[in-house]
Amino acid sequence: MGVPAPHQRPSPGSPAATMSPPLPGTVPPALVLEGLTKAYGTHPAVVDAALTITTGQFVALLGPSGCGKTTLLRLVAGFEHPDAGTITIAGRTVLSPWSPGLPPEQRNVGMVFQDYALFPHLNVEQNVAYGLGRSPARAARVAELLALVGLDGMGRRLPHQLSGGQQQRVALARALAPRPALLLLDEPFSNLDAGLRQVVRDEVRRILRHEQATVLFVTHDQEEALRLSDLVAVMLDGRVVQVARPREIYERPASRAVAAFVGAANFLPAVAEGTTATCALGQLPLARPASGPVELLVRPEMLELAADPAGTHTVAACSYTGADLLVDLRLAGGPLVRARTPNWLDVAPGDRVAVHVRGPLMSYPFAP
Amino acid sequence: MATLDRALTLSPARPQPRRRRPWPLLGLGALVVAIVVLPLGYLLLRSLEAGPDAWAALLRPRTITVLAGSAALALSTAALATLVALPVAWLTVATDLPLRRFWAVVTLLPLAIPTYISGFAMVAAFGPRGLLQRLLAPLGVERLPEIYGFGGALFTLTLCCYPYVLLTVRGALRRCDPAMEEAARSMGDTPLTAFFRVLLPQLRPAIAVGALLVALYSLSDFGAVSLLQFDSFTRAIYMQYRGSFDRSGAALLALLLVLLTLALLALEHVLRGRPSMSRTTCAVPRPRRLIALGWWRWPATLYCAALSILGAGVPLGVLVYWLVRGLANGQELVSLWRAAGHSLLAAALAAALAVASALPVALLAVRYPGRLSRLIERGAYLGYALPGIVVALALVFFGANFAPALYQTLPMLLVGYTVRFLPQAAGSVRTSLQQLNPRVEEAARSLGRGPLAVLGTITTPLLAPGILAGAALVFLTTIKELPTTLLLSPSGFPTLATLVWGSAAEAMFARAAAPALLLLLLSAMAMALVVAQERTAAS
Repeated sequence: MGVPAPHQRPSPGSPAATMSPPLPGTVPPALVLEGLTKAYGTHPAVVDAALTITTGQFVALLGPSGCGKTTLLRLVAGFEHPDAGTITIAGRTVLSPWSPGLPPEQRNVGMVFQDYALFPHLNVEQNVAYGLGRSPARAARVAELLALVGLDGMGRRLPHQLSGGQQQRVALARALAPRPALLLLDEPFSNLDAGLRQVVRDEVRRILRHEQATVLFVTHDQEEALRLSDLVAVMLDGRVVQVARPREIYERPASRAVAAFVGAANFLPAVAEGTTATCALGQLPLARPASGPVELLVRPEMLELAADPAGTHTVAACSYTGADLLVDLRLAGGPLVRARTPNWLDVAPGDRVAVHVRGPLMSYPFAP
Repeated sequence: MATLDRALTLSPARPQPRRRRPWPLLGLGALVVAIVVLPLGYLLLRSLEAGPDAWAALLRPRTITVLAGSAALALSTAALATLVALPVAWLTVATDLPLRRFWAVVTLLPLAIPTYISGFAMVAAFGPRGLLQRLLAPLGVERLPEIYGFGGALFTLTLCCYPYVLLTVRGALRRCDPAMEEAARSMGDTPLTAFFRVLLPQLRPAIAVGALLVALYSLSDFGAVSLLQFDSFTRAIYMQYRGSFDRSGAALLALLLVLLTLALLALEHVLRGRPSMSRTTCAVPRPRRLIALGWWRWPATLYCAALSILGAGVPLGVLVYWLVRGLANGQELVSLWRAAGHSLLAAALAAALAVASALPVALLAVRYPGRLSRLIERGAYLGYALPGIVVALALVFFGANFAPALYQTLPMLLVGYTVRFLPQAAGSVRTSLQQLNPRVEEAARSLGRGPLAVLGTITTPLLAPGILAGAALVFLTTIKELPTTLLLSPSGFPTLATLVWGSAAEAMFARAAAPALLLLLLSAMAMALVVAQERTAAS
């Protein structure tokens, strides 16, 4: 499901997402943030953040440690109070400059914490039932969720009797039980070891799709964000700098900073003129017209190498990672770039190679 | 990289959110502090009204001598108790001492024995015509070393108080990373030199806290020093209060004692050194490999045994001896059960009241840190630093003038206990609250429950062990407490403590033995709860 995301290409410092009021008869967005700002003393944690999440979307909030993404999540949940901004959840304004803000329990937002935060004195069933009140459907809902997360039969166990992966599934079931308008996940996979993480990710995605949940999840793992989500919001230094689909984020980063953070990147100095740019790799097509001194974004896998004694570029170093070979190239003009090639390429430091660059390139104004 | 990121995300360096304090909590905290601070403020005012006679009495050489004697006793007891307790702490935590767990519990037993019972046991055992002298008489021993005075008080108080140092040091020792000592050993230290060069400096803050507790305890002690006829300042205050109509004279003396207490606190602050030392080294350590004592385990066992016998065995033996002798001579046990009922009632109510008052204070301090919360916490801890006789006097004055309806009633007595022992409950609740992940409470909020519902369904059940331990600690100290009970008890409300005191002060040992043994039994049961909690917290 999910409405296709609008292409948004904001520049850093300006509000990232444009907001349109819901048309009559349509479902309001699950979450709308506008101008959200929060500082701890003099340290700004979240600056003028804007974001819109359509009902049913799975959105990743991606950023390095300390960029303010967990703070943003806690502001949405109501555990912290912003200095400025508006939060609208499922069409209901829960916080605006002229209201004190709804407390967490009235926001209809579920949250799965990084350390799960299960209630240690309650068993699995009681944990899941905690948010359900006294409705008669309570027992049925608990059973349904436990079956969904694959924990049927474990309802009477206490949290400390479960493995890490099981604890996480309890936390997920507990947060989903009251059918929140929005589910927040804070670094949900960071406490699991690498092998388990792969399995759990796909499992969680399946569960959340089955429940048709609208999800905002925080991660610092780019691969996780690109792989799992419909939409990725990149956050750097407290600002939401780009909101777009995964392919767009990786292939058309809105700024040099986004390009540098998401995936590996070479930046080649070049001079642009209209739809092409000239650099140490020759004249290359641009994705968007530009002019003057620029830096070109060249992802390592965009460089195709071929051993060629007559080639103009030299292999400076190689490292073998299994499937791939990482090759550091000394280009004819002097700069060093890294290429990622399949492991069958047989080159050694000192060899000469020919280079072909795939696809049009993104360029960013050169800032010395 | 990912692990580094994770370590950074989980590090506590993340800025602590400042949350707005809910006003009902703030109101409750302020109320608790008001109850603690108001009587003491009134004591201060009252002492300023003291007549010229009282001021003159204050400056008499005799006053100064008594004050100096009390200070000397407090400092000597702290020093001696530290010397006595340190080896026991090290032996029971770090070595393969035979029956290690047994000694770990038995050496704590003096905590359950009130000083006035120890005092009377020491007199009965080692005094003139005491048990020891009668045993030794056939051997031609005519006189024993004098038990009355400074020496006897020091001896008795050390045996009563050393467990305080033992507890704090043992806790710190358990938290210390044995890797430190291993590093020292790999660089050529023997176990003993490693202890002095590496371990001891790390234990300094814990030693300072333990010694401070001992010093405060001896400074405020009233029972043992009176029975051992040492001229202490607390005794002087009591005499002044009982013996003259000008009660502001007693207030003035009490204030002087408060000043001495403050001086001790300042001294501890200096001695404690930089607190960072204890924090950096006390992560979650590996279990420690025990040091083999070899031949030394026999003198070590002997040491623990001797200490336990002197501290717990002698008082118990003396009490049993006098009970049997008293019963043989037709001593009656009539009022015993009534007094025991009063003791139980007062201690249980005081424990409940102290824990209830501690909850808002601890919640503010841990969940809503800030200047105001700190102020409230400091205020609530004031009773810790003040001798019981001062707190009791303050409440007597305050009650007589502002709440005559409450004066000499059970509620007033309970307020006195609470002011005195609130810090014990608050400390206990605070520690367990700090161990409670705030995310757990937030999870409950996001599942649709309001703050009060979360307090009831999540916070309180999870705090239950800490609350219980705090209550047991308050119960233990309350049932032992003498000066507050003596001054604030309603008339016709005898407790075990006042019963023991009344008989012991007149050297009627046979009459004191039965209530004293019953008191020991009750406080030993409360202590078992406290020790069990220390165990689970350590594991």
